[in-house]
Amino acid sequence: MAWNDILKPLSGWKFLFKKPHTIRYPKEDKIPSERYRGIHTNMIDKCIGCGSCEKICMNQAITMKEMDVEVKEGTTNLRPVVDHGRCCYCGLCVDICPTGSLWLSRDYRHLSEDIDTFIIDPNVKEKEREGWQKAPEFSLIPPERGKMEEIPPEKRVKSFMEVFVGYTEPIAKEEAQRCLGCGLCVDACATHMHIPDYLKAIREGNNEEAVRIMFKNNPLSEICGTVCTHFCENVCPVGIIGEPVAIQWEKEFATRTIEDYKKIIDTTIKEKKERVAVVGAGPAGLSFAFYLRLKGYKIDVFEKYEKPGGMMLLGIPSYRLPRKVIEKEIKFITSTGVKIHTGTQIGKKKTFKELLKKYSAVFVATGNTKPYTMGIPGEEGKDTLQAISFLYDVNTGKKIDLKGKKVLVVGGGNVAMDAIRTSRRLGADVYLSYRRREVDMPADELERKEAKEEGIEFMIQTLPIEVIREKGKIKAVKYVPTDMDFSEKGKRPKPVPRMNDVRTLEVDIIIEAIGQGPDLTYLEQEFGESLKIEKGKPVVDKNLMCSIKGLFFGGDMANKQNDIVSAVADGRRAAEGVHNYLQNK
Amino acid sequence: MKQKTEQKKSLNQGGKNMTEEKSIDFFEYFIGPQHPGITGNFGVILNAVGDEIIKAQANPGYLHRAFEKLMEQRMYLQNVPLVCRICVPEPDVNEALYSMAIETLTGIEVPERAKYIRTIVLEMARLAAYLFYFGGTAATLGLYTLPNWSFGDRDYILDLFEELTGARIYHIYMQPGGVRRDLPKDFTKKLYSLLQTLKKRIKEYDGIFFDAALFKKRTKGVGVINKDMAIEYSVTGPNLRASGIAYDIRKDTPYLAYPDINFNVITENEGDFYSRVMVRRREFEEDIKILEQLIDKLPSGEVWNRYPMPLNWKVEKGDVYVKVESTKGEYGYYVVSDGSEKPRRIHVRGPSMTHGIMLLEKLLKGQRIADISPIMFSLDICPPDIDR
Amino acid sequence: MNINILYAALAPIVAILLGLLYIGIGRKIIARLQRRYGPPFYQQYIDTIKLLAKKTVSSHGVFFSLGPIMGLAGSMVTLLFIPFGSAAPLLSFHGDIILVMYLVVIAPLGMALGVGEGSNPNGSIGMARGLTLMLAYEVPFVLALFSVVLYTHTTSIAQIVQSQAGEWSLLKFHGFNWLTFALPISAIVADICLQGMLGEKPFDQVIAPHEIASGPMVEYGGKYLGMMVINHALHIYIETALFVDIFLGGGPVWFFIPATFSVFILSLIINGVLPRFRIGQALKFYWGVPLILAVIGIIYTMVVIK
Repeated sequence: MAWNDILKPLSGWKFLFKKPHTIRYPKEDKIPSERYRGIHTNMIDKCIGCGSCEKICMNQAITMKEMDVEVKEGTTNLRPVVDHGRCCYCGLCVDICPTGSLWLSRDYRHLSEDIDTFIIDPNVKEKEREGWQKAPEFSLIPPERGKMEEIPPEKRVKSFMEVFVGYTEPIAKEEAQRCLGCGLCVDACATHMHIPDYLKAIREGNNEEAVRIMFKNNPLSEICGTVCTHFCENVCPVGIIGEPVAIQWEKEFATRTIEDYKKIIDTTIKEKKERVAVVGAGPAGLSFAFYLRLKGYKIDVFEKYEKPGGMMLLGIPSYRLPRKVIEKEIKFITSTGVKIHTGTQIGKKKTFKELLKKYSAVFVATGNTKPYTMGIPGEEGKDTLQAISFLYDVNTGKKIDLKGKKVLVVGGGNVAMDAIRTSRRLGADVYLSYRRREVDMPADELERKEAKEEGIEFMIQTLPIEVIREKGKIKAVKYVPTDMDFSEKGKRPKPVPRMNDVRTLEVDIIIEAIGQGPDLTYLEQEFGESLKIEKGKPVVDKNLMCSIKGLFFGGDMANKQNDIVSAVADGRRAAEGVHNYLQNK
Repeated sequence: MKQKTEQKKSLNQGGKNMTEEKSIDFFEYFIGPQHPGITGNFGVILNAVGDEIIKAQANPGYLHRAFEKLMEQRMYLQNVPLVCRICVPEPDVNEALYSMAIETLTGIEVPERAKYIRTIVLEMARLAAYLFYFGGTAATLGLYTLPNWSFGDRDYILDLFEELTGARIYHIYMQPGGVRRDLPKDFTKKLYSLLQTLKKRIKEYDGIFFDAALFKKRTKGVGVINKDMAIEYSVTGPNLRASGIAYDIRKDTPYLAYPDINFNVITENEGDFYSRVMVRRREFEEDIKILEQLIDKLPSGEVWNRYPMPLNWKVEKGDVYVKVESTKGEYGYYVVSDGSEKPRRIHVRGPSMTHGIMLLEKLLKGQRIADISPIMFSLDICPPDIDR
Repeated sequence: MNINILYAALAPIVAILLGLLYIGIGRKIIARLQRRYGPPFYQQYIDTIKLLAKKTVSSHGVFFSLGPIMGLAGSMVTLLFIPFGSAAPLLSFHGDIILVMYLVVIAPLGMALGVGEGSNPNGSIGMARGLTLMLAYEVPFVLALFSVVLYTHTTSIAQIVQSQAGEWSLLKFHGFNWLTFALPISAIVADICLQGMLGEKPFDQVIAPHEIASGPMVEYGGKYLGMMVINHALHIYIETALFVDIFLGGGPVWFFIPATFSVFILSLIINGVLPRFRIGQALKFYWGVPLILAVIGIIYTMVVIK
């Protein structure tokens, strides 16, 4: 034992006059690091109330509470409240938060004798003292959706084959995993399909159960899986950090795995005496017929055209919606005992009044068949086509040759997209004129993308003002660019044409796709004043019954959305309405 | 002194226990769970005659929080914040092991940079845990200056942890597929300068503690674990290396970035209290070298490979055992998945179970009351890991 | 007579205040060694007042309660024999140095009585250790004092102080008369023993928190604990004062108080950087080098006197 070892410890005393390295709380304060995981803070306006934080929390420290907030599209009035007695400050809630509204602040002190004060309402208006924040690249939600195989543009413009191949099972399962299960989509969907439930069934590999869940709300699930305005995907919180969950394609995948719906869906019916008539075998009429048939009523559907399907069959081109899909769905609906009388136009041979006498109730869903026109000089003529009649002609098999012709389509909705892409497939050079910005287009983003891929020129913010004709044939179109006027808040910006900057475009054919309205001629003739009409649409109550007892309206002719899924929703709602009406009669 | 102890021992074995229990010197003595000389919420029931222990019985269970059972009821990702709580002084091994187990089950690849970051975190945690150990051991011997120093220096490591992970103790930083965030700006620079400070500091510790005559007098020849006993009692980690067996999982079955790192396995031959402390003291310097190498070799790139959405994440069916070298010994996780969203069974193999119960009971027999707490601390027992 | 009563009343108060102040400043110094700021120097006063203001929850019997009081009383009596520097103590006679050696023991014995009734093994072990330690350090200490008695030819502390008295002024250093210089070996031995008497490391086996959870104090709380803290403060004063009186010549107040404090700090400096002995090692230690040194000290004294 060396002397050195005995005396060495005294070397520690060199610290006697050095500055200590501790922090003298509360005189001094330790500033936490930038990533510090302290007390929760939540931007109340940015939060959409999806409840993902509540689900991921391992301690059940977060509860969603109803709060007094403005409920916008795709949000709820639920906001998180955190019990800091349970919180373990792991920050998983921050990492999963799709909006990034939630973060952990750098505050870490809370002192109170009152236990209740540890349940903290983290909602604030502005950002402050950010600690652990959402980092987009470390978000727990995979931002990219499962890839779907599609036919390349060069190949697909040559035929009317379906563009998308559809999901394969592993990809569908993987994609279904991305669902947060928040249910915001359920509220957004017109028919309120139980989307999280069927996505769960899909990822568990139980496609039959998934289809059963779908058919509770939508008898045209496969059609909606193929073509739909998918409001659900628009509100999906996953879409905030990346691509939303491919709900539509999931639906398509699940329904296409089922050969015959009859086998898996229970359609045992207790027959009732009442007979109900349906006018129009479109999505609204078919959905109405299906649900009311399930309740036991005897249903007769009257359809003007030779085949049932309405606008789905006549308006939507087959590269988007294969005909066999429509046939499969209608076959299933008719198999429940719904009778469809095709080629029977109500109003001509049979009148609505006759129907009302013969049937306990009548549901009218004849859709929007009357197209609007632009009303510009030189518009009238054989080569100015209406989009819906043009599509009708194509879909019913009329031979139209547009090879080498220049076609200008006016409009920005899905009908316009169908028109441009159909004309492209018929061999035309296609231009699209739309008066607002591209983001304002009502058409789907995917449709726009695909249309561009197929070589269609988008003339955004242009307004045709005159059609120049030579010997009765269209030679060119005069048009002006527009500026956007944002003065009216909360509404779509208004286009203001720049009238001094007139340009011309040589075209051969103009197709107008600027919207359409319902054709109420026969109804007005028969009922006159007793049928109340507002803005070109019949006035209906919450059961969709109009001012005449027993007469119900639905579909495009009664709602504003003008799409398949809203029509289906209308049909279902009307079925409930008719049932209530007949039960309480 | 030693001879006397052996004589007493032979007396005990000769069936004289009864007379000793009746002797006036006999008493029952409880160390823990409320006692300054215990490593945590843990207890040892001692039977003593005079100043000598004739029987020791470990009394764990005060920290039983049913981690293993809880983990069966939580989704896979939700377990990440839970596992680190199994061992307080060194929580990162749990995170690393859990993540490694899930990665093996699901086949998620870990990016090279993430591997290095994980190794940096593990080695930083090792330094922090050793500083904790030095302080604890010195405190049991009555030197309260060293814990104040070492805990203060440990705080610098914790500061870096806070910068890197957002928390000081329970980092919850590693997750299956990598780590939760990339290194912050200037992190490696700060870490490097801290390592240089620690190198100087450990020399100062030497002066006050490791080289001190009184420390050697108190610790040499106390609580000896010889080679055979070490193997018999499945001692692992630094405690094993103190007995002269060069076994280190980092070297023998390397994981993460350890295959790329050069380092020596430190051993001592005596197997006594002194060797156990000195093995760790020498490893401390070795770990600083490892960290310096890691900083030099740190590759760039991604730090996380995504797993599916955690709320719906199902892990493939199967089972796996992963192990790492912690400061306390071999730490292992056995994870069984039945293909659902929650694990079927997770077994945690903590080193403290063997060290803290079987070995401790054996070692304490025949020791003086003054040496109980030092021996317990020298084994580096972590009671939450015993109870799990 | 009145002055005597005043002295008897004031001496303990001053001693307690000084003792607590020393502990407070000592904590501050140790904190600096440990790279902390430490509590304020008056923290010890606050703690003591708090403890004395507390209700005592439980007692294990009469002797349990009597123990701390007996200890405190013993210390207070001892105090009356300790000169406050060059000021004469209240009680002083030939042979009082021997009496003080006995009186100092009363405090631990009183404690032992109380702790014994508490029947907590921690306390019992602590007391056993305390008495063993006393046995250990008293042998060399008494031998060191013996050489002092031999050198000064008196057994009265006051006279020992007087024998070292020189001319006192701020300018002139008076230390040449100190027994430390006359009997350096004995002074070193006495200081080593003082470390044990003060219970500072490496001789704090009595309270050893990691081993026996503060030993004798483990069962006590509230007022009793307060009394024990006061007792500890008194002990620090008595023992440092004894050392200053005998080896550093007592001196006037302005010297005496810093001197006692310095003696205390000297023991703290060792206390701060050392771990503790096992009790057996402590016994072996005291009966080893200090004992031999003490004997050498006596021989040296005999040589010097000749």
